[in-house]
Amino acid sequence: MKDRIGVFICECGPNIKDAMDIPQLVHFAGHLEAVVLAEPVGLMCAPNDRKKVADTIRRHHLTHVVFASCSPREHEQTFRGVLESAGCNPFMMQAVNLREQCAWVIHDRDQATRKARRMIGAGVQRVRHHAPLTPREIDCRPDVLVIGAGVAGISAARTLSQNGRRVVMVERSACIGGMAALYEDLYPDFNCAACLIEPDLDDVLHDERIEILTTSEVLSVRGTPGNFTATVKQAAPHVDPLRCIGCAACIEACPVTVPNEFNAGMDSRQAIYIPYPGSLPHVAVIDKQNCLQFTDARCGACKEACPFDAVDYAAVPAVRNLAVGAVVVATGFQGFDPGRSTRYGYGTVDGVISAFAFERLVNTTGPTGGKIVTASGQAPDTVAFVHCVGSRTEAFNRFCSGVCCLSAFKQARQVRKQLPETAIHHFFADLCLPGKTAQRFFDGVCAMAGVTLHRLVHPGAIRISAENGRAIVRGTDASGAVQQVDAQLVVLATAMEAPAGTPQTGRILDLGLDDDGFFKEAHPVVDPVAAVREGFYLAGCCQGPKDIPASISQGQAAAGRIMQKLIPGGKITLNPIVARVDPDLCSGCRTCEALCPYDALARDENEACMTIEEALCRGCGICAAVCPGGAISVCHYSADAVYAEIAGLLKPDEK
Amino acid sequence: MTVFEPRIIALLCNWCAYDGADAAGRARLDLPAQVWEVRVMCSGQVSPGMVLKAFEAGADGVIVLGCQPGDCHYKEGNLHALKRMVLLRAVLEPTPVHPQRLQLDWVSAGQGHRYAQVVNDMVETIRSLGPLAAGHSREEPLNGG
Repeated sequence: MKDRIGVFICECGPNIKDAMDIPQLVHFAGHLEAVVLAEPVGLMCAPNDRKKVADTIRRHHLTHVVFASCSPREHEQTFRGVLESAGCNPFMMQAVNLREQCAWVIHDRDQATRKARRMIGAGVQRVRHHAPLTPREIDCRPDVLVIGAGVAGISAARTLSQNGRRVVMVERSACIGGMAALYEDLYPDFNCAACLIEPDLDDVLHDERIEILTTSEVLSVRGTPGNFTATVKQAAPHVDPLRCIGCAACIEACPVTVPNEFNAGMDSRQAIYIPYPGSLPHVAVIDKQNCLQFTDARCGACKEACPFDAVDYAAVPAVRNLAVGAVVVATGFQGFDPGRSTRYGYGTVDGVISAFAFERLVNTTGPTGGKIVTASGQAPDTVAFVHCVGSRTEAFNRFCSGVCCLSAFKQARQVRKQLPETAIHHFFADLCLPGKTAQRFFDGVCAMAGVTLHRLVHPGAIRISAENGRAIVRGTDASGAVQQVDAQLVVLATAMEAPAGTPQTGRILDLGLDDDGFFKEAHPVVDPVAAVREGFYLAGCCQGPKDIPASISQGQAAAGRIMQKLIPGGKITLNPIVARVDPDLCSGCRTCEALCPYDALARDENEACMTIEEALCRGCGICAAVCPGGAISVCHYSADAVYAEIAGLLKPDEK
Repeated sequence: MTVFEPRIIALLCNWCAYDGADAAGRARLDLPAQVWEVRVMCSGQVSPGMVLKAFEAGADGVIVLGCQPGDCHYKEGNLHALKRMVLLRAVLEPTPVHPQRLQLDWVSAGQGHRYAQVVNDMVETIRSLGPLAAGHSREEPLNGG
């Protein structure tokens, strides 16, 4: 069949019409080779003009169409729809960007018309190289991988499970619940954290649709939205979780003692241990870096002591492939390490602890059974809270975590409740009190006796040093005066940072990071739950500092997005703009394979040529550009099509 | 006497540079009428053939515009483009096509003003180099003089 090309030139109201000579362009286009029809259109994106154009395409049996109008970034899909409604393949068109690239930027009418002629001519030449494309549909997997089993990941998993979805949760540590499970009282109502969170943890542990892989990490996630294959490595289960009942007989037998990181190093644990009282799943775990059996190949005390034969030193790690349709990333945060700055005296001045350590100190399952005491076991007569530690500074983190001020005031109330006589001091440059409960909560703190607020000139205008066994806090106010407090306990309200492993996780999962090191959203304003990689969603603090309710909301939102996208039994439409290999031209040299960002190319050893997995290909064309044999072509962007457009633009101007 | 008006092909990646050019349009900036845009999916898709074809067909200059380093929609396509264009410029060295006639730069989506600056600079560079003899008639005197 001979090419029958139609050219529709949109006036875009006055936008294009006033900037160039439309009748001249229509005349020019109408006389180009293979063009059987050229028409002006008032407003191509308007429903009535879309219908009129579709009717014209059908009536004139057009085989190819050039839409000379606005940016294809705006209306390419609309115009593809016009072709479809006219019974044509939607890819048999070329959009010529007359508005953004010509009408709006070339303010001389004659010059604009001349450029428009070239653009239309190039579009007509190019469109003849377009071939019909049919998007392929593939089955989607409705199951979901959740990375991180803190409150955000758990809320996503529970929401998904409640809607019948199967979920696999991968958690790096030995227990679930994340940071929130280690807190005592929650802002603002002093609800018991364990009472609120543990039932949810129990729920997910016993949920038939949720599988939890602790001490595990994700090695890779290949594939496309709806069809991912996640490779997960599970550390060797040296304590069999099906046999261990958490009786602690092994712990009593273990001869090794190391600082307990779950209590911020304020007490110790054995090399075989249960992370903290009530941690779930409630089974022992071996710390191989410190266990004599692994460091010295001798001991065996825990194995001997276990009444259930649960200890197995010979267990090996397992690698599993999981087929999932979407991924929720909920890898949480870490507290800023105040030792990175000498001004806080962290690690050098007795009595200086992080806000996280205070949470453990005041916790009934913590090192002191919940008693607020100094390292020497005394109740402190003076407690100082320092705000903005590691945040709002060029040196460490520019951002405000938005949570720590209220956490510090919550902790002040915990001090007051337990120690009515203890003096409380807060050092801050500014207070962050957002939301509907914060101001009232802060007013309550101000109304307590014995609370003194010290306003610093900037967050870093503070220094903590040791004098006579006490911590001396010196802060400079706006007038330059130094305010000094002699404290026995100093609590540092540390910034919430992205965990140290985030850049590596980002590389493994192919997720971008923002300027502060958190995972980047698809769009910070209108798409804050989706990650930059399609099919991936962010929940909780890995996307930015937030409080517990916000983390839970985001987990639920991520689950909602997934349920909306992945319908069980539904299909996923693949992008038809993919690369294709011509097996007659391909020599199988594998140059393309190494450069493909998505591992979409592989060598077919029988045919000695490359093959492309279409579900993985995103049509970037990097392979096509490097192929020494010219064997690879991107559908819709073939070298011939691009050459034709270039040649069309450069065609000598006939006056 | 005719002023030399360079003919420049701008190969724009779909995700950043093309949108940057659109942003220049939305801001109604003044752009030179002698720069003619071609959309590709990624600057890494630009093959040496596309560039040479443009010169063969009569372009006085070719500019390839991709996403800012680190922002490539396809991870590192723009860096592949960088390596390729550096090599291609070396290949052009002994030919009548001055290597400066081939440029590579980065424009992110929304950087309309940067796009305008980059293409205006390109026009100036090519103006100072004069027309490329091959492929089209050379009636115009050099340097617009």
